[in-house]
Amino acid sequence: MRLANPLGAFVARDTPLARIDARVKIALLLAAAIAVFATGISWAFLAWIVVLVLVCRTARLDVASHARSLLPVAFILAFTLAANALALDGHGDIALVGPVGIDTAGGLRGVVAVARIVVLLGLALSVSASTTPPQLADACVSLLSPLARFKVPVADIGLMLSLALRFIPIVSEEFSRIQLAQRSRGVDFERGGIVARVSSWASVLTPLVVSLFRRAERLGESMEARCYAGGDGALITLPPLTCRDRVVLVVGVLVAAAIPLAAWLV
Amino acid sequence: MLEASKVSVLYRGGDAAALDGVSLRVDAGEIVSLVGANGSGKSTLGALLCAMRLPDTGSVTVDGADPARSAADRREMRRRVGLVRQHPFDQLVSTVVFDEVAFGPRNLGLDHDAVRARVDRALARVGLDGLERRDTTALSGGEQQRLALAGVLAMEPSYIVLDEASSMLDASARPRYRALVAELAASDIGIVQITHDPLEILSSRRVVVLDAGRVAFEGAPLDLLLDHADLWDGTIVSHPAVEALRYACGRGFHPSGTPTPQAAVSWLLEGYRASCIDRADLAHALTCCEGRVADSVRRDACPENANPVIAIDGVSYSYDGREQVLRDVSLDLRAGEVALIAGTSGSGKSTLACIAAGLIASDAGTVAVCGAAPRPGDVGMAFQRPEDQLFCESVADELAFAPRNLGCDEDEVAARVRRAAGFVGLDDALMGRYPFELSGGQARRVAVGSVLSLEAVAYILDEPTAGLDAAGRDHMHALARNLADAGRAVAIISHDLEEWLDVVDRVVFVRDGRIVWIGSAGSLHEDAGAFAAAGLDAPLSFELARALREALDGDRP
Repeated sequence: MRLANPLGAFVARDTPLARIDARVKIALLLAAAIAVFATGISWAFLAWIVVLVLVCRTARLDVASHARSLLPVAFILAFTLAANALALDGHGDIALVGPVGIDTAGGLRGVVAVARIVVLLGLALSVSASTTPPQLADACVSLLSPLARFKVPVADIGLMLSLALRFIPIVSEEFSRIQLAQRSRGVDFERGGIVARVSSWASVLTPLVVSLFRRAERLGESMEARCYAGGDGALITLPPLTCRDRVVLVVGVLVAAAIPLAAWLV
Repeated sequence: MLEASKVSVLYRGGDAAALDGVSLRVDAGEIVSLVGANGSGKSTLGALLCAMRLPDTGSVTVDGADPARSAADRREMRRRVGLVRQHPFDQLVSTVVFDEVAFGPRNLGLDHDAVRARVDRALARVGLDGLERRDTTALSGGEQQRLALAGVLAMEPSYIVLDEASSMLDASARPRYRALVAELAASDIGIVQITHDPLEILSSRRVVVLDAGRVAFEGAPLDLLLDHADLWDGTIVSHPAVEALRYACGRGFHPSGTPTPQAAVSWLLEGYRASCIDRADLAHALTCCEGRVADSVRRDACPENANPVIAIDGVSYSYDGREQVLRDVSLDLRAGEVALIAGTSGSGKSTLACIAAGLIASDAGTVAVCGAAPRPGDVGMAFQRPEDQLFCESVADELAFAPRNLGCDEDEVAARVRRAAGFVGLDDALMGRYPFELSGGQARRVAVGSVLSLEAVAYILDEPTAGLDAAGRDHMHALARNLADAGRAVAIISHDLEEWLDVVDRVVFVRDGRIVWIGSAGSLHEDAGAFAAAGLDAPLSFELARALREALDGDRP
């Protein structure tokens, strides 16, 4: 039986974004993260929304199903917005009831804060959904490789990263499976006080952790059986960036620089 | 030559030996089957053969390399002796087919071109060429196991240990896997296969039976089948077609090559046409192939009009409101019957079970358990590998968990624990044990017992015998039957029809979310189109039974 795809998991599809080198994607994601925060409150911020839509398009991201999985975060985002926009001490520009009013400047600040999170989350999900875990790991290794000179075990970090990424969907599937099984043994995860609920989750988390440890051990043995020795593995050298990847990188960096600049000038 | 000589391995406590002075020799191009009950030491021996661990006494060598000498020798031995295990997710390290196969060669320090060449060759050998960029998790179970094999082949080993590598495969994926193993042996790779599957055992040149860490038998598979029939029956899963082979051998069949049931039945049919074999012999072979179902009286025990315990009516279900998993399914499960729900993987049978048990809500249609909508706990549901759900401090607590959740008082809980323990055959000595230190077979019993203590009106068991040895399987078969005889409705989800056919009353085939065939277990033999309708290959014993029946019917006056 198949269970829901976890948030941001790689989807094997040939999309324009999937064909771009993972190093370029990671570098641009980092650039965007800095630039989004550097973009002040101005109309230029709308450019980020355009970028987000374009990137989601090229990744052919399933926006509806991602939006559904974002529901838990929606509460925090709404709270952020409300905390910024509501004025309870009477300084609000639009009075509502008594001292309670809406502070438009704060509201705008809140909207931009939420928009920053949504834009970055969307960009990060586009990267993770269009990049396989090994590509992601290899790209990180390649970007970290200068650190190998300082005796940082970059190859091991890369493999660990790749395995961790591979385990995310496995863990989430196993979690759902055990939860179903314990419900069939009469556990009601929604009943009782905090203590009862926490102890009912123990019936899922205990076997989950035990099975993950066992699985990790067996996987480790299988890796040893295929001559994995740890540490002495040669660093994978990725081929140089193609022309198209270089163009994407340059254009991306220019866009990331232009938007905050425009916001500053406007 | 891969050789273990007088190897012993002691358990950590040191009281009993996991292996006690075992010697084994495997030549290039030879298939050797290693069989025995759970805990007999076969996996330990397998681990020694590929240098995953070292023996406490004795030695293991491959073409002169001795893993005890140095870490470099151990590594070289691991390269020369590959290992494929039971579960794909215990051995696949990557999400992309190419990287998965490249993992080993990269560990050997090969350059990019050499890695690429090895990956291409290995994928072509297992028939996965062209899938280099595919997501490993999107492959079928059969493909994943072939991928695991490709990952080992890319190391260019001389020997391969298959540790129950086919045990999780669908019945339909097994013939291809067996053929692949035979091809590898033909290309001079020595194969050690740890298995419970009688057809795999028959396809090997030699079979070694381990019992409590010692060799109980070593010889040709046919010698084990014919001259040590008790040992065969006690350690190897029963199979109707193999019974036909045994019978043919008793009538004078001497196979020249691999002793297959197909060859035996062909020999019988030829002999019948040449009038050297009587009609009665042919009829007896047919009874073997049909299993015990032919003379079953069980069908009368469950009248058609018995009240349904679970009534499923017009149920549909889809993922995310798009991908349709079940389409308008209606099915009644009656008290006192065992129903087998079969179908290819992804056909929707597990989802159907979850809806019947009230664990997930259907999009349309109704489910009633004893007339009311089911709540979780009304139907006992044992998922695949239910031992993965154990979490309590003791076996007794594990069995008591479900009745406590239902709010039973402690006297009632104790009574249910006792009854459930009796049903699955757990003695008092086990009740205080820590569930995580039980053997595989015991843990399965505890897990199933922890569902039975619900004392539900119906039980659904998803692949309850997967990974069990012959004794463990027989126990589960009897358990399913006993539950039904005690008035419960029982549904078994399994892809292995031959295994369950003489236990169940009814068979339900599911395909693409619909029920495509439903009928008594006996009538399955009469309906030639049933398997095709379900998108399944007819099991070997059905094919052989059909050939025998046609010959018998053909010259009826």
